[in-house]
Amino acid sequence: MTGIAEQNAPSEPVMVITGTSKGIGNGIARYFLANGYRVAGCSRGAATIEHDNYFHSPVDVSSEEQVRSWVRTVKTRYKRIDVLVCNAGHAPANLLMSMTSGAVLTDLLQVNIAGSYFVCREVSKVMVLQRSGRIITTSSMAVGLHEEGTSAYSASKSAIVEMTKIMAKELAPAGITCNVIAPSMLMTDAVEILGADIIDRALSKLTIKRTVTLEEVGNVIEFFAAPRSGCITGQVIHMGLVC
Amino acid sequence: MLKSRAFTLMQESFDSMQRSGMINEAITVTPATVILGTGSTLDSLGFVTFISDLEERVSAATGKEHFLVLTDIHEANSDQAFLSADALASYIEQITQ
Repeated sequence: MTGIAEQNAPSEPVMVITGTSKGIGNGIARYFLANGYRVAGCSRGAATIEHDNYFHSPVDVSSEEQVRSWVRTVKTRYKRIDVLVCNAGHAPANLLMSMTSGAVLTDLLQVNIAGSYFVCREVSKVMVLQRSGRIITTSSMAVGLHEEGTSAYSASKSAIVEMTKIMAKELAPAGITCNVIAPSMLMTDAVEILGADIIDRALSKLTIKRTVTLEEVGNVIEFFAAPRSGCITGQVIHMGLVC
Repeated sequence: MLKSRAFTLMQESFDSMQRSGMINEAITVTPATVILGTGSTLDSLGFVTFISDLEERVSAATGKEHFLVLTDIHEANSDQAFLSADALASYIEQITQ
């Protein structure tokens, strides 16, 4: 399909990534730019990546209107979207449930769940018209660890898994696969500021007691995105952790 | 956008879907054609495909971004248990004014 504009699409695969200003999203964007992709990224602020094949938009993914408009802009620019990596999310400092405010909970639900929902929904509409696509959402090791202090965060990341599995069923007839990557700890600025004690404690609970690298995260995404992974859908890959 | 133009765009969407094998039989759009609900020939994914394609056609035809929001369509058509081409055309006419 379809009538409006498949002409002049780039020859390189087109990947959409949310939350590219820093952290894992930034690293993934750089990884796939280095591997020949065109990347359309977004964050609430300005671009932190300069590359000929990178197109940045300031977007608050929790805003339904902004997401709609952004995805339309990407579609207009690239004519298609081959891969979505839905990465943007908040990860607040751990707080016991009794100390977690409604504002923290609301923010997590809005950004982590609603934000992923809006982005997946709008991108999937583009992919439905193409009759192809790969959607990769991001969960967390926190879901498998049932770690104290993460009730709100882990709930939001569990919701991502369930959303993705249902999406996988709904979109399978259109040739779209939907899978989840659940990275363990990757050393980003946000993680480093937690300090050595907290990092060591988290690592000690993992099956593979070390941080993961961007290359390892990129490898999992490449696996999900590969043409030969067309029958892999509704799956979760936990990195560094037996679940 | 006039309703007549909206009907034309709907027909183009259905024709495009048939050419690409997403629907088996040709659909001729009339005001009474059921788009969603009992009597529609579209399955759920076919409906999503149709609305997504139509959304692009409406935006291209008007030169402005328009989004066909299902909850808004439902509100504009809340007295019916199904969505007809006529109701959808009225909605498109309304949002493109």
